Amino acid sequence: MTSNIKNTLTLPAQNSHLHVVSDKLAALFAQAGLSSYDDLLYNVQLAVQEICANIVKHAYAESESAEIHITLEITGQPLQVLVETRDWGKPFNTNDAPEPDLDQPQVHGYGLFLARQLMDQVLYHRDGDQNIWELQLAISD
Amino acid sequence: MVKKKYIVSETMVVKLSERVDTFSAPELRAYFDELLEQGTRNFIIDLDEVSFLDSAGLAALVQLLKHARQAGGDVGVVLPENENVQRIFKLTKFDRVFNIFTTVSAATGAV
Repeated sequence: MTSNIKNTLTLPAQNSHLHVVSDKLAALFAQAGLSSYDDLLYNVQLAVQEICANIVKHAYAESESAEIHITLEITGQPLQVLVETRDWGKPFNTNDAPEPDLDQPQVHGYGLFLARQLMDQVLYHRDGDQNIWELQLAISD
Repeated sequence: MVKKKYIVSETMVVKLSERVDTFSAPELRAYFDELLEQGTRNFIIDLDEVSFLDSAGLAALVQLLKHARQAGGDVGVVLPENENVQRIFKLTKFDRVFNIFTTVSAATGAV
């Protein structure tokens, strides 16, 4: 396994482009010799997909000219996956994303919940005009 | 996304494949709405060849379930052997809301 691999990409903030992040994460895992960690890869792919989909829908309200800047990194000893997204949309408001009541099935509202379930840590902060999401997952058997 | 559809014992089997996600979900919702408008009430959604399911894809299935049950029907889901998609159903507890099957033949006998 190889540590300290980093990849950055800038995507148009459109749902049609989000699969690219999944592909880049798969390439990063392969490059790091982590191809057998399918379940962890899927967790990260889905968590990042949910964060980016929320950015497209809520932060940018589906504005077509917007962008998402994404940094993907496998680093550290023990190994961990770090993902950071930056966007220039509306600030995230926690009150707009209540935790779903799992005993009362609903159609929407599971995206951020899933990201938090699948990663060890999902953090949000605002830096000037930027929204920054930081996701972290330890790579363990 | 929708690979094929066919009818078994008055149940519409819809086989999906690859990514069922925030990009494909609007088209999938429209597809389900059309089938409901045509009078279909009982569905089996075969996810065996689905490699990626996000919350928007899940929402399309939940909305179908809601509409089908309102119309007196039901929706069964065939989950892939791949545990990744199964995990999403378990985390959201939708494995308790949908009738879950491992094969289409098991599902068509039950809906």
